[in-house]
Amino acid sequence: MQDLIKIAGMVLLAFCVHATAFAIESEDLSIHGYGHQSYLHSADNTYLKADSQGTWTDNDLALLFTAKIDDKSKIWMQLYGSSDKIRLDWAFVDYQLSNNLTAKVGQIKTPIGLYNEIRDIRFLQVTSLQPLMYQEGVDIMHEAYNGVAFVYKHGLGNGSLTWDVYGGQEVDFEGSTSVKNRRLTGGRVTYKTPFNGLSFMLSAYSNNHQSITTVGKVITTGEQGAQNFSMFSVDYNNNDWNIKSEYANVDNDLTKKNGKSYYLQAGYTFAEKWTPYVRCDYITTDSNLSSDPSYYQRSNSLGMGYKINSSINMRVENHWNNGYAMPVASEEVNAGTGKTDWNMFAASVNFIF
Amino acid sequence: MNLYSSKIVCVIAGMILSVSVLAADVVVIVNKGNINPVDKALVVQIYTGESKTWPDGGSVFAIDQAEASQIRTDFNTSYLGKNTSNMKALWAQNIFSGNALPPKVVDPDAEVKKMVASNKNAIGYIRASSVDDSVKVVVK
Repeated sequence: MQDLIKIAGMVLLAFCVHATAFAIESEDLSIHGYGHQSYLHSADNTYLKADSQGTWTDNDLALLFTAKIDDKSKIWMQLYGSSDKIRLDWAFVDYQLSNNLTAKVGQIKTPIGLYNEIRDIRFLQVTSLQPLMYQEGVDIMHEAYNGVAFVYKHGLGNGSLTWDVYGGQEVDFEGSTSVKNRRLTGGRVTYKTPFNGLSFMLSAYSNNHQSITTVGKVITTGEQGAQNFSMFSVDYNNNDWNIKSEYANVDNDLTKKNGKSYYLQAGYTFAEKWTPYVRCDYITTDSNLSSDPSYYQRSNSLGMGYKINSSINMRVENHWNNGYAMPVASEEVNAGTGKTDWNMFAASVNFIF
Repeated sequence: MNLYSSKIVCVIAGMILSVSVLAADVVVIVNKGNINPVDKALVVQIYTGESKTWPDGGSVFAIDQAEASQIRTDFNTSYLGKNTSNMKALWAQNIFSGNALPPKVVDPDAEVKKMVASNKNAIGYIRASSVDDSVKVVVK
């Protein structure tokens, strides 16, 4: 009964947002935004703050401001707020150097894979919970960095290629007490094929950082090492089908660990409103211990999305999990103490304007 | 060919013809002083955020019509191969990735023509029946 009341509350929130949500645009300034409210229930392992009692506190709201400086350059700035934090997500200036080449300078969202730049924008995703590799606990998809990026686009036959090259220092949103000075260099190449809706991506980065030990106010620096990441992505997205698959590999010199993750996800929209979807997901946070349920997780998900209008949608889904690597990685469950087979239910209302 | 098969052929022919009429009914226009070569591929690149500049280096000023308008639906379907809802999601991805901003929304056809006629870098779309000599048709 409590679950039904909470879901009814989310639907009411959706209609309230619909009554007021609009983008603001003038000649030189525009304001857009997004947000979501989620309900999570985990039957056995505590994860994303959800346990058998469920949680209603997973929500966020972000505002994106864009100002035109002249015909070739703009300022972008996004403020992000959730129940436990408010922060500057990103802020940069971009400049159109030529027909094909754009430069960006500032605090920039890291271009990795299909989802990293939009991982908080649930409205644009097929599911309520992101694929495991994108979830914060595993810390392999770095959200943003302070530095420089170049984006080069050109045609390739009847398709196109986009090259993203970037470098700088990772923004430590969580205030890590174990690593610092994460210098980041990376790139991504995206091939949009002539076949409408089909594209491929290769992403990679190297993140050179230093271990630290924090005791009270005393910080002691330790070894330096690199985290090397690579990923292959496939995306097919036409009016009805939305099919995605990614494979990621990460090697961490400091921890001497190798992690891998992959998923396949498919959703089909009918009547322009309803989207049933499935996802098969796998992650191991330590390949040497991949038979230990503390260090692997398989997750099969089944859900349904409903588009209320072009700005608001809702989703409900269930995750059947085997292994609990994610609760261990997020430090909500100690290794060796979790339940191997466990379910998680998620429901969300998501909007953009 | 029996009567049933004939009816099927007529229905299919009608559907093909109606799509062709829709595509022909919406034309893409630019300022009369714009001498850049424009084809359907460039129109798709502009209206999906892939291209922001003209070949001569000028910044594209793209114009869309109202989200709920039939002409926008027809343009999205016949030129971009997507419905309006999917185009909104595509532009949301462009915006929130910090890649591109959506076209300016102006309607109806008369206002689109006025804006295109007054801006050398503007591009828009209108019904073929609205075309006059204040603008240049580049794709139909």
